[in-house]
Amino acid sequence: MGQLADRPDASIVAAVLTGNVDAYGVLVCRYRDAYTRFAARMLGNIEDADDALQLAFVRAFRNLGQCRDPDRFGSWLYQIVVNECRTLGARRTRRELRLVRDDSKLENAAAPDTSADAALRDEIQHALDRLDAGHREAFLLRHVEGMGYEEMSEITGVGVSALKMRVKRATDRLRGFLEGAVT
Amino acid sequence: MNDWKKDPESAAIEHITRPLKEPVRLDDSFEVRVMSAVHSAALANIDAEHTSERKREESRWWNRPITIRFSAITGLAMAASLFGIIFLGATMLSRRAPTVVAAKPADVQNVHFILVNGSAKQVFLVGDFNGWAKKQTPLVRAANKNAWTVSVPLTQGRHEYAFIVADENGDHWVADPLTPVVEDEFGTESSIVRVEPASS
Repeated sequence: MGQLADRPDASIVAAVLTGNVDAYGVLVCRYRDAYTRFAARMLGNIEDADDALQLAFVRAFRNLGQCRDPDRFGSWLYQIVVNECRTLGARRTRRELRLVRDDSKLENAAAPDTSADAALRDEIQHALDRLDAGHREAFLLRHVEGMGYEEMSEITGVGVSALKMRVKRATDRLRGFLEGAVT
Repeated sequence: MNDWKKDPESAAIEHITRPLKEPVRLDDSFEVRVMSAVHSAALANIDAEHTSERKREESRWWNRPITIRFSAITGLAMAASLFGIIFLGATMLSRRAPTVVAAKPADVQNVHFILVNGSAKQVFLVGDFNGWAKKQTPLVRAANKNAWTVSVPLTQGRHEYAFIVADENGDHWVADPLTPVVEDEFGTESSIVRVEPASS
């Protein structure tokens, strides 16, 4: 397994497709941390991010034979992660709409970390959550994950000009939401 | 901070994204859970292939039902002949020794065993299905070094098993912490797995 961990993606994909199921664990280790941050920021909490990542890895395994360019397994997996986040996010929105909001419970909920950094992060995450999912996705890929627009387009299936528009609008709205906290 | 004056938008983005760029880590059991689901998916895929192959086999011409029409007299004659053949065959077969009938594939299912143990050097699976033979069924260490896994085809019904964990202090008998256990007359705990009939 040690040698396998040093091999490129395409080699590991080939090993998995020829029956070495355990080799897939190398890909899980390789990509899980890199994509967890996006999922957590996109969905707003670590529990949903865990679900999204797990579903994405299993879906990728089931469809590994359809990965046309195994050298770019990471990009292909990213598309699946983005899709799982969209699905989970939509499902969560429907679920939240069915719940009766109880503000007193929200106010009394224990905050796990009360440091200034955590408070700022929570405020920014709250502002992110208020964005439309498409705008949030574009903003995170561009400004948090540092992707170029071509790569974003490949992963999201959205055109470059539409993505630029989304990023711009997301940035403007975030600045509006966070006026005072960020400046 | 000079950038802030030159390009307020870039500075604002930097301010917003800095906390968001902090790494986020999933708990250590993530890989084990994913690989468990992956192994299940792989086994389901094998089962699906077997089912598909069985259906293909059933659809071949020699397995398809056929309808043959006879006149009443021909039918009576053939029925008498068939009765004679069956009677003769049964008489001959009754003189043969009993034979062991192999379990049908549908009666056997692959069961995936997992043990998380970061200090083990080797792990073996022992149970009533392998005669409690220590070295017969070794587990394979997963990529994260903490999980050990193996898949074993088991017949339907209840099975008892345990793990033998070999570490620097020797060999240890370990019941599966994730399943119900039973104790033998000496107080040694073994785990229970029940293999249910396939839903298909």
